[in-house]
Amino acid sequence: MASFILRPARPSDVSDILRLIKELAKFEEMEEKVLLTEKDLLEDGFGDHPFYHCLVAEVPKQQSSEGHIVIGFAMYYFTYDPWIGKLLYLEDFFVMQEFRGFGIGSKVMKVLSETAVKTRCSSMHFIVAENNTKSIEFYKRRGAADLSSEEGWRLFEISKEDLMKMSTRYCLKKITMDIQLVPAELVKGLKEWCQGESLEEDHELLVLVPKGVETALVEETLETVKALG
Amino acid sequence: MDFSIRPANVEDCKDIARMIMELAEYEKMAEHVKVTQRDLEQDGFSKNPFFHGIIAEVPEQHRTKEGHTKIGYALYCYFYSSWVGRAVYMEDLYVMPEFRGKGIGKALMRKVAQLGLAAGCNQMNFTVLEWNKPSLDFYFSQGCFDITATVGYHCMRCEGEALERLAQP
Repeated sequence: MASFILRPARPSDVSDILRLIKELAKFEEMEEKVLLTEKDLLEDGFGDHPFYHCLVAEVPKQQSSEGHIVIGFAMYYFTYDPWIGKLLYLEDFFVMQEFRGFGIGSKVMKVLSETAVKTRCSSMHFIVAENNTKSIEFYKRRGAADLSSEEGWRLFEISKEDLMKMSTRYCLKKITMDIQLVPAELVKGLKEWCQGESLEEDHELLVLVPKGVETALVEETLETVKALG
Repeated sequence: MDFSIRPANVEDCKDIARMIMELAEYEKMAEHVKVTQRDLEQDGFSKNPFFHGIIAEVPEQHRTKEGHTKIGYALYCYFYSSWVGRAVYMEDLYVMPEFRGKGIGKALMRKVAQLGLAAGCNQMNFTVLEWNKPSLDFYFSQGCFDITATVGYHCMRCEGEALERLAQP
């Protein structure tokens, strides 16, 4: 019987957390989707404004065949449901295979639900893949309801690329232009204005906009442009 | 039709509460709504807000017969994906029926996408009811994909008595 402790994660745990995230993703056959790095986990979990919280399960060194002490984790955060208010959302929950069946998972669920109740959350939400019957049974035994089956909720996703497409009203078409086609007086005018404002030429951006486009739209679109380097 | 999209402020909570109820009624789940105007004020507009809101407003001359000018909203919050990190969850998106088909829903969603990207988010998630064909059509046309259908992810919930029982020693 493995003796273990559960404790809040520390910055020094990020390497183990990432290892376990990847193990869980591998189990879900989605390993290539993990793009997070240890640096991201450190900045996002242990900075001024943490985006997530983490519990880790630890066993004494001699009990793990590969020498790992951290053998399980749960990543969670707080979200909001407009119908019932504060929620605890369980993002990831994983115990290494050789340490299952010792009550570690049950203890994690107990600690998380205590946290949820203490912070006045109405509910705890999470996602399970429908073919993960063992996990679904584990959760249903503890009173969880499958909202996708029972109420017909379907989870949708938009990738960053599509978010960027959505956030600019017009697609910025790549126009290969002979620089001489840009009216010389426009270029000259821009240079002179920059000089007058003591701005560097390298920081100039000349945008050609079709006639009749509202200024507000131009401003809004330019705000979404990121200058790199 | 002229409309404006802006971040919600605490004075909008009365209209947000009204529209939350309208959306819940449309989804045939009105009896599930427990959040009040006061909850929204405390949870959304205190030092550490639990959610953020965007409001769609029309000028006075287009107000509804009940006198409302705030005719659409989106509620969203930031979360964390263990795969891609910072992400945004769009909790609610709603436009009153008489104002649909004018690009207001698109504009609200665009604002959430812009704010999410500005905050360093790499993904946006939301849920839709499987019978809600008008919304499904709208979202598919925006390039979204259904990960319940494609990957088999089911949304689960543990609440009320079940949650309390789970927390018992």
